[in-house]
Parts: sequence; structure tokens; C-alpha cells
Amino acid sequence: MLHRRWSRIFLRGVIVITVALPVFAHDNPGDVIHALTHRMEAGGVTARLLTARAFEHSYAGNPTPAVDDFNAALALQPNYGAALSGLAAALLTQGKLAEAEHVAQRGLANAPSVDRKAPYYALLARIYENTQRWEAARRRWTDALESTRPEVDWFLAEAECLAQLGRYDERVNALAAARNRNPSVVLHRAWVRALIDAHQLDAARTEIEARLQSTRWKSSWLLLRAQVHAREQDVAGQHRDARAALEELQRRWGPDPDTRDHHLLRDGALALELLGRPEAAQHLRNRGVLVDNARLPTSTTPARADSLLAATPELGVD
Amino acid sequence: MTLFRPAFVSSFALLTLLMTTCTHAAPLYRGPYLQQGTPQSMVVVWRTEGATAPQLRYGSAPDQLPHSVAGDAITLRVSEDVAAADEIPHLYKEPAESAAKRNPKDHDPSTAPNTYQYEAHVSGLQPDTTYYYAVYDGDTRLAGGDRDHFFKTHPPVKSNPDMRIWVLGDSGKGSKEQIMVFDAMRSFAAASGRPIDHFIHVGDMAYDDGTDWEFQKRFFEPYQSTLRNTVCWPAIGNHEGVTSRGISGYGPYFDAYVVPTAGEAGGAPSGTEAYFSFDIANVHFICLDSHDLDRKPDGAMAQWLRADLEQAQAQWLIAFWHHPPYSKGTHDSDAEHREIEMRESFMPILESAGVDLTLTGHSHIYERSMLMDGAYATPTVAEGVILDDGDGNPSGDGAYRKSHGLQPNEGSVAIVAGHGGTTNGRMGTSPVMRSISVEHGSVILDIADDSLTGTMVDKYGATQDLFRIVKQGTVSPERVENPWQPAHDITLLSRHHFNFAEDTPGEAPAYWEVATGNPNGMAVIANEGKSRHLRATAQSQPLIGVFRPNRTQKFQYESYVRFPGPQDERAGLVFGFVDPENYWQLVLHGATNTLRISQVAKGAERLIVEKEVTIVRDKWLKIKMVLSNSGNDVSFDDTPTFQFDAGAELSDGHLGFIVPAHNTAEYLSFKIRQQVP
Repeated sequence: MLHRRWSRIFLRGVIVITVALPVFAHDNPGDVIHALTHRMEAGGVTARLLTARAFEHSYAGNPTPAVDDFNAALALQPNYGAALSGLAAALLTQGKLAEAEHVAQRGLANAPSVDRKAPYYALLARIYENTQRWEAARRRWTDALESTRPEVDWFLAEAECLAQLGRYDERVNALAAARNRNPSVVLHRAWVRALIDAHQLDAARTEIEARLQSTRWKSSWLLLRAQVHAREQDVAGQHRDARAALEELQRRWGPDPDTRDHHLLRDGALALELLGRPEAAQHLRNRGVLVDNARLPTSTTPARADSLLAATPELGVD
Repeated sequence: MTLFRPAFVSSFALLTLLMTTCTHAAPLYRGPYLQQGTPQSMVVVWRTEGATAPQLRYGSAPDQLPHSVAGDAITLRVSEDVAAADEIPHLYKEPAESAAKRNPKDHDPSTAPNTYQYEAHVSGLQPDTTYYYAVYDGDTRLAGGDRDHFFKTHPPVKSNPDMRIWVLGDSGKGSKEQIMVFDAMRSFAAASGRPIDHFIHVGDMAYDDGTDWEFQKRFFEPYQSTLRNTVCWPAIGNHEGVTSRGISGYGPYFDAYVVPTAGEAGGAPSGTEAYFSFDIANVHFICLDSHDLDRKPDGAMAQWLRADLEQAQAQWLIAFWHHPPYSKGTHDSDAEHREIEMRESFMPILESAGVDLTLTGHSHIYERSMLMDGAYATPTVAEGVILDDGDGNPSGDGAYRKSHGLQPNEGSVAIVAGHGGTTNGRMGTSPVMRSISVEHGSVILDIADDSLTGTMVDKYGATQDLFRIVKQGTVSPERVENPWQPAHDITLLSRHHFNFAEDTPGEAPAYWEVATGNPNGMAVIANEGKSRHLRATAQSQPLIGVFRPNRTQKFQYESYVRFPGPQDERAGLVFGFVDPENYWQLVLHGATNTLRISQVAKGAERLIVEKEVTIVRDKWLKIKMVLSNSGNDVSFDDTPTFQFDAGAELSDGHLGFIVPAHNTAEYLSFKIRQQVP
């Protein structure tokens, strides 16, 4: 079952390749749907209005009426790009992968340019990911990235496919190429993580050290360096950085961690993992219970780096 | 503007273009205006109709402009119709598929033909220094070279701030209120002897569709006297989002602005013009795209925000975007997914990094919160999240206090500034708000060292709200038990939706009363489950029930009515109700299948219009009326709308319902939107 987040991403993505749809942007989706319904009842049904309503259903998290409207739009205008891409995304959300692939291929065949094809490639890639066809997904991401303005998420997704395929060096290269096209700091971080996974530790350390010099909050970089230490079997260094990261995180989330950015708690859980406290880490992950730094182990508790890394999804290790 | 901008035009390409098209000085079409200021650089943008030999000259006085920018330091972009070298980017053109379907009456959203946009990147400047400038076509001056065309570089990063910022939202309607708000800001600045240094627009600057034409007429032309000497830092609004896409960075919005993507003005590189950050002195600013990008906590924008905040080192942190995390104006932040996601996904990140102030729009109202932290729940509640429930006014309850620097979770103030020029409204009361106003206006922020003062200046120039945050020493914030709560006064609301779910069966609904007829003829009826509706029974006299708290002349009024029994099936709505002898009415007549609108004046009825409709017993029938300056529209059961002439000036009266004598009717709901000018 796909996470709803992906469906939203698709929906945004597919709109890129479409025409400018009529937007009744001043009301909530329910009101917009109502207004569109009224407009169609009053002035006649068009593919454009049906598609606009379908997107509103999708945004409201209701794929079933969205699919109905997309199909109705395509009955009126079979090659309407907005409806094709929207329908494929909605079907993907419903887990109807074969149908989604069929519709996406249909849209792909009709798209006139690389930029118009790219969101269909992205849809196909997501469909293949959902069935763990990583190589097929990777190829589609590569196709999508040929477009003029690829999304940051597409670069990350291609890299994730390579990680799933165990091609860590290629993943590094792909993210390095991505950084040449887009200066986003998000891609830079992903590249540093990829360097660690590919055991290119010197390069990773250089990047991490530079960031540690310049940032106000250092915990995320300390955690990356702790993972470098873990790869090097330097348990003391691993614990030192993990502990420093945890101290900073505790200062940030204070006495009431439940109300904070839960990514801080997730980082805290990673720090605990790296400190050899998997149960405490899980506890923190589950509901964000602060572990007093005073109770943390001060000895260099041995921990198998690989098992720690395997347990930490943040690393992208598969 | 293009995202990855090594796309400076090569001299050869530019020369080729000029040789083929430039024969005389082209008229200046837009600007010049300022963008992307830093301590060492500025971008000056202008457009011409037709090609020019572009040049920017600048210097220390209007008549001393010894420095110039030309050639590769000027990015050229052209409309699609202009034949240009491949590396020259194009301005927005409506997709052909969309153009084919567009209503011919609507403006073409594309950039006007033969448009040339120049973006001159001036670098190597001194911080905190004023420069005068002029733009030229060859040796012909197009604009500037006077005291109105100047720019001031930012002070050095991390220096103590001393700045005035104008914050505006939802302005681009082309209304007289938009101009009044602008004039009021300028009068306020002049009277206080401090012009604005910076301009933040929180979105919806080009109604209705963010087209190039709308940008020109509703943003650039009205504000040109400010834009030529003040950088506007924008956030994309939903109206710009009709034609511009944050995900691709394409559209008139992205053509209009030049903002940092690679950390050019401080902050972490975002790689997109949809969201970005910048520093001015010791203040770090963050702009987010709440409209069409992933708002989830794992999305690329959230990842970027965390990275940016990790490295931000400043005394003040201000974030702005379009959709408000807290509002009960014309939008409900507890009910709309963009608002909810910005609150649940992004407020925790920002507050964990010590944000001081969030600026948003979208909801057409001014709302300003108390000092609060951790208000992420849906619906928003005040309990447990208010750190200071005072008014924040130094002359009142005192300024809000925070520690020096950026400390996590010491509280922030949320401002909704969607009152810049379009129709305002209020549908409820957010429990975290300390100041609420449906008057048009804008916000002035004065930041001086460790003090930030916010002033809401209304369209008449009056100060409607003033608060201050002071950041000194170390403060240990504590949550206020039983914090002050804004009064929920229904007479202040302009939007109401009555579905009677909260009313007690058998009793009259809250805020409604019988104006004439059987005093006990109006009661809430419980249906199966939680659904309820209103039953109105008239005996020997007509029954008129009205919503008492509001009187209005311009409104949108919607209701569902049903005839449950074997009477002659007459019932409807009243509007402009002054007293039982003077009102307007819209009445359905089941026996004749007609809808009649009439005026009752001094007890005498005058028919205005009669339309044939289909009235089915025991079926909910929808009536909708919109009375506005542009006409009076009625629709019945979602059938096509017709217009009517009220015949006499409609009085400022109550809305309600009417059931003629010996009839019973039921009303499922009433939805009222009062038009707040």
C-alpha cells in the first residue's frame, strides 16, 4: 500500500505537465467540489471541469470519486493529459498497479516532449518501486531526470533505487551528478550519506568536518560522523559523536519531547542506536521518551557497526 | 527567472539578437525594480517592449553614475514569440492545450509578445550603502538617474539589525482598498520619519490567476514607486499558483522574481525559487511554498528547512508563507489541509529552531497571536501552548520576552496578514489570537537590535494593533494555565454556517428569533443520528425568523428547504429585513412551481420577478442568493443562475426565512457570507 505522501507528490507532479486547470482556490476542497458540480450542472460537463474536480477529490484523499471523474473526463477527451496523469496517480494510490501502469503508458505515448513525459516516467518508477522492481524503476527515474526541471525527490528516488540494488558507488555518482544540476542542500546530505554507504569514508569525513565547522546545530552531522566511525570500527569515536549529538538534541527538545519536531527524536533514537542502546532507541522512536544523558553508557560499549547501520533507516542501508 | 542561472546571455547571442531586432529605443514596460539584495550585490530588473542594448549605470548620486553593468552580467529573457538563441530562456507562455479551452473573455495569461526582460546583477558593492541607478537602451536613458531610483545594500551579515519591513498579503485585487492600504503604509512611514527598508509579500499579489497581465496591473504598476527602491521578497500564493508551478519553477510568478536558490543571500541552498532563505543583518528569513509542494515532514522542503535552520546563526528568525497555520478568517486552519499540514509539519521544525515570528496570508483578515509554542493540534487550542497571554504592547501588558539569540521553543507570534486589498471576512475565533481585525491594512515590522515591534496599520492609517518582542538575557518560558481567550462574539463574524448540530432539539436555534408570527413556531428537529434541522410552522400569520446578530446589505446566502406536509407548499427566505412591514422575500410556491422575489414596503407587496421551477415535496431544495455590487444572482437547486433588480436600494437588514400562514417548512442549513468591504 502506498503512503499517501507519494500520491500527493504524484498529483503535484502530474499537474506540471498539464494545462492550467481552473482553480477555485479560495475555498476548501469540499466547497470547490460543490462549486464545480454546480458549474457543470449549470453549464455542462467538460473534461476540464471533471478533471479539476477529480484533482480536488484526490487532494481531499478520496481516490474513488477521483478515478470516476478522471475516467469520465477521458471518455469525453481520450488523450487529455491532465486526466491521464491524474488517473494513473489515483490508481496508484488505490494500489491498482496494473491499471495505473497501463494509463501511465498511454499518457507517455501521447506526451510530446521530454518535459511532458517526465512525470509519466516518475509515475511508472513509483509503480515499479511498489513491486520492488528496482532496476525497472531506476531506468524510469533516469528517463525522468532527462527533463529540464527534475524534482529533488526524483534524484533522491533514483539514488534509493541504486541503494536497493546494492550499487552504492553508482549511487554516489548519481547524487554527485544531481548536485551539479541542483545545488540543494538536501542532495548534498544525501550524497554524504551515500559516501558512507559506499565506504568512501575520507570523502565523507571531509564534507562532514566542513559542515561541523559552520553549523549552529551539529547533531545531524555528528551522527553522520559517528556512522563513519562505525564503519571504521572506531567504537570510541562512534560513541563520542553519538553522545555529543544526543546532548545537543536533548537541549533542543527540552523536557517535553513529545511536542517537538519528531525528527529530532528520530535523530535521538539513532544516537542511542549508535551508543548501543537499541531498546532505548526504540522506546524513543515509539513515543519520544527522553533518555537522560547522565544514564548513558560512558564506556566504549562494543557494538557491531553493521548491525547498527542496518537498524537505522536514516542511513538508507538496505 | 530561471532556476539555474548560468544562463547569462552570451555577448554573441545578445549581439545577434540586437542586430536583428533593435532599431530604436524600446518603451519601458515594467520596472525597473529591485530583487535579491545582499550586502555586496543587487539585482535590477526591467522589461521593454522590443529589444534594447541594455545597460545599468549606478553611482553615489543621481547625477553621478560612473559604474555600469552590461553584457554577460545582464540576464536576458524573452517572450516565446521572440526568435532568440537557444540559451536565452523564455518567459511564460500559456500551454496550447489550455489556450484552446480558455474563455475568450479571459485575459491571455501569457507574457505579452515582443517582451524583453533584463536582470542586471550588480556585484562588488559596499554593505549598507545607498547607490543611485538608471537603466539605459544604449545611450538612451529609459528610467532612473533621479532621487527616486536608488538601492541600498544590506548591512553586513550578523550586524545588529535596524530595519523596517513592510508585510503585505492578498493585495492584488486591483481594488481601491489595495491602494488605500499602500497609501496608508506610506503615510505611516512618512509620519514616523522612517521609510521601509524591505518588503515581504506573503502571496496573492496578482488576482485572479497570477497571469503576467495581472502581475503588471495589480502588483508592478500600483507599487512601482516602492519596488524601484525596495526589494520585495515574495511567497507564492494560491492565485499565483493558478499559472505558476512551484515544482517546476515555471510561470509568471517565477518570471517576476529573482530569489536565491544557491544560498546567494545567506542560508542553505534550496535549489528552487519556490522556497529559500536569506539574511539581513542579524535576521534570518525563510520563505516556504505552502501551495503546491510537498508539505510532509519528510518532504524535500522540510528536509531543506531543517538543514537551513541548523546552520542559521542570527538573533532573529522570521518565516513566511501563504497558508496560515492558525486562522478563522475567510479560511479555517482546522479544516483545510494546506493549513493543517503547515501547522503540523512545519511549525514543530521552526519552533525547535527558535522561530520568533511567522507571517502568512490567504485568510482575508488580520489575526495576531499571543506568544505561543507547540500549538500543533487539530483543532487548535490555547490550553498548554500559551507562554504569554498578554497583548504584547509595551504600553499595555508589556512586551513578550525571549532569551537572546535563537533558543528552541521559547515562543513565537503568528500573524495572518491577508487583509491587503481583497474582500475580508471572519468565520470564527482562533483561540490563540490576541488581536483580530477585519479591516484592510498591512503590517510594519521594526527590528532594532534586540527588539521587534509589529504594527498593524489599517487602510486609513490608524494603528489597530501593536506588539513587541524583546530578546534579552535568558528567559525561562512557562506555559500559562487558563490563558486569556479572545471573546467569541458572533456579531463580529461575517461568515456563518448553521447546521443546527449544536442546538437542542425542541428549542429555537441560537441567535435566531421569530420576528413575526407564532413565537413557538420555530424549533430544531432531531433526525436519525446526529443530523438536525429547523422546522418552521406558521399558524394564522406568516412566520418570519431572522438571524439577529448581523445586518447586511451585500451577502451570499444559501439554504436548503423542504416541504414535509400536505400544505400549499410556500416558504422561502427573507433578506433586507428591517421590520415586519419592510423586507424582501424569495418564496417558493409549490402549487404553481414558481419562485417569486418581491419587496414588502410598508406592508405592501410588490412582485419583482417570477421564475418557473420544479418543486418536489419532501425533497431538500437548494436556494442560493448572491447580492453584490456586480448584481443580484439567484440559483435554485443548482439550476442556472438568474439575475434580478431589487428595484429599490436594498436596505441594510437581517437575513432569515419566511413561512406563509398555515404552512410548515423545514430548513436543513443556512450559510451566510457577509461581504466585508
